[in-house]
Amino acid sequence: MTRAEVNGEQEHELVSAAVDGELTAEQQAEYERLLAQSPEARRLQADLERMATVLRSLPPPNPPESLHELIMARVPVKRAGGIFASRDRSYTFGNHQPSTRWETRDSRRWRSRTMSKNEQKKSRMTLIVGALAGAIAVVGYFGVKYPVPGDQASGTIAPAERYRGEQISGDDITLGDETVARLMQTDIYQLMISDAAFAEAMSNDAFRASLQSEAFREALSNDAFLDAMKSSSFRNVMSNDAFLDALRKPAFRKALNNEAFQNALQSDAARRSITDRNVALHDALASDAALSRARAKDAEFGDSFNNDAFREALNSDAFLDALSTDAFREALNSDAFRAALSSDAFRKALNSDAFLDALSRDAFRAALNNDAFMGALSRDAFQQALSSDAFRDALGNDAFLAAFRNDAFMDALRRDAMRNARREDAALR
Amino acid sequence: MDKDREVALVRRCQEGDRQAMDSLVRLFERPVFSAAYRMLGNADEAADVSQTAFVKFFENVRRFDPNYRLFSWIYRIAVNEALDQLRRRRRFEPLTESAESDALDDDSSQQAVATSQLCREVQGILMHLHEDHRAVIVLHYFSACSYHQISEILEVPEKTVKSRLFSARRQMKNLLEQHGILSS
Repeated sequence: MTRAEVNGEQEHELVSAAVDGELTAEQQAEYERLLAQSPEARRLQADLERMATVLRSLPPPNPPESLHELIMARVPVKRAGGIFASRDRSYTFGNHQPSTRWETRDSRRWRSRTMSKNEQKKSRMTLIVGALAGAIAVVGYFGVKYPVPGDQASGTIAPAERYRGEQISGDDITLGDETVARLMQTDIYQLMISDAAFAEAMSNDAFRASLQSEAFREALSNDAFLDAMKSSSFRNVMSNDAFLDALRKPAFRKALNNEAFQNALQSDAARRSITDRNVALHDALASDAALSRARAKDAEFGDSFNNDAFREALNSDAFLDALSTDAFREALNSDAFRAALSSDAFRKALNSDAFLDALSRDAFRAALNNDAFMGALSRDAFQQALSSDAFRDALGNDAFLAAFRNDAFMDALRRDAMRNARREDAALR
Repeated sequence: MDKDREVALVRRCQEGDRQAMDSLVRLFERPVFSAAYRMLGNADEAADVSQTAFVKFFENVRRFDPNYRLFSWIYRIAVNEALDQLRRRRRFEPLTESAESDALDDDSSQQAVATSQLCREVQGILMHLHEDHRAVIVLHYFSACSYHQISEILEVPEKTVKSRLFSARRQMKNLLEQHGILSS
């Protein structure tokens, strides 16, 4: 073996030990030096890590449901004198060659000890009678049939062949979707596999399943999403159970392509909302209309997602209920509504129970489809009115909400005088 | 499970405590089945090997050496049983195709199908490896055993484990690359 080969083998062992978590304290410094100096070692490390990721990402095989019962049925029972004896019955799965019936010397000894002499004698007798009967049958058969006349005898002499099982060849393996394999060759994948949070996420079935989904892979091809993944806080989100649970839903994976949503995910409040009431949120965010708007990278809309008040609102049942309605999602497409979302007053109102309660009412949501109402929403005066407790309380009043359906009332909303009037709490009580 | 609890559980099994046996089986049945399946590539055989491994374990539980880790001992029996089964298979019968997929998820969603396909490909590649090499790959990657634990299970020196892993990984990497699962 050449010196280079020896060095190569030692380096391989060092890198392997590092990737396998088997480095000693002394080897650690040596390994770090090697990595800094040798591109070969870095390549080897990357190769080993990629292989480990692929192999460890595979879900474990499912044992048959009855496995536990079958094992316990065969588990030996303890007899007198501390001897274990198998209660063995031949349990096999499928049509393969059953395993050898198993019996230890202990259990044989136990059986011979526990059988009476009479029983043993009877048992021997049965065997002898059986053997004699078999012998008589064989002699009778061959005595009558043989010898076979020469004109009836024909055949071929061939060597006996022992069966050889077919080996799996390269042709037996067909390739499926290679998208995951391609993803594994990207820089972001390298970043992902070296990150502890991502590694934790990788151990989750939902996350691994998501890696195979078209929507998730589409998200991975989105620059904003990949940028988000570079932030440790986002990767921490990825190891969050709620996030992983949400990943199971196609609607949520689709929503991942929404840049604003990705930003919002970095907030604790948003993550909590995913945990508690994810269905409505996912459905809402998966709405094509809302997503197409978000994809247009509307800064104000995106800002709303990044806003604490909005994210707090994501924790509200009423808001999430509203999000799941067509009317609200349509409203997300409205410039006026998005302009309102970007206003502090409106977002502050989102934190108000009264406002959220109003949001949960059909009348209010219907109003969201009304141009006049939406126009009013974007006005400063209306937003200021929203910061008034009385106005928000009024929004909880069915009569007041019913007024939104009235054209004359909506016209009045447009007028500054009316909006100003609403700022007077007394007038609204 | 810590060493003390392990020893206590084994002691109860030695005394014939069925509840302790049941707990021990619950603890190890899935990992034992998984290792057997990776070694054999066949769910029926893996289930049969798992049963036999536990029966043998309990039959010999009086001889358990507390210096060993419990799982090392159970794995040792299971891996040896799997190797015996491979020898029997060579002598008697072919692997049935239907049984190969029994242990894979029957979820028909797109991602589940893709995962299942990847599992099948990797299992096919594993079956290309020599049994000794397959055993170290299975124990290291799928059963998360350390070099020392693998050496205990296979009853070979740690140096041999490293050397087998070295060869097995090289072959595995080439095969994964050939099948487009890893980039070259």
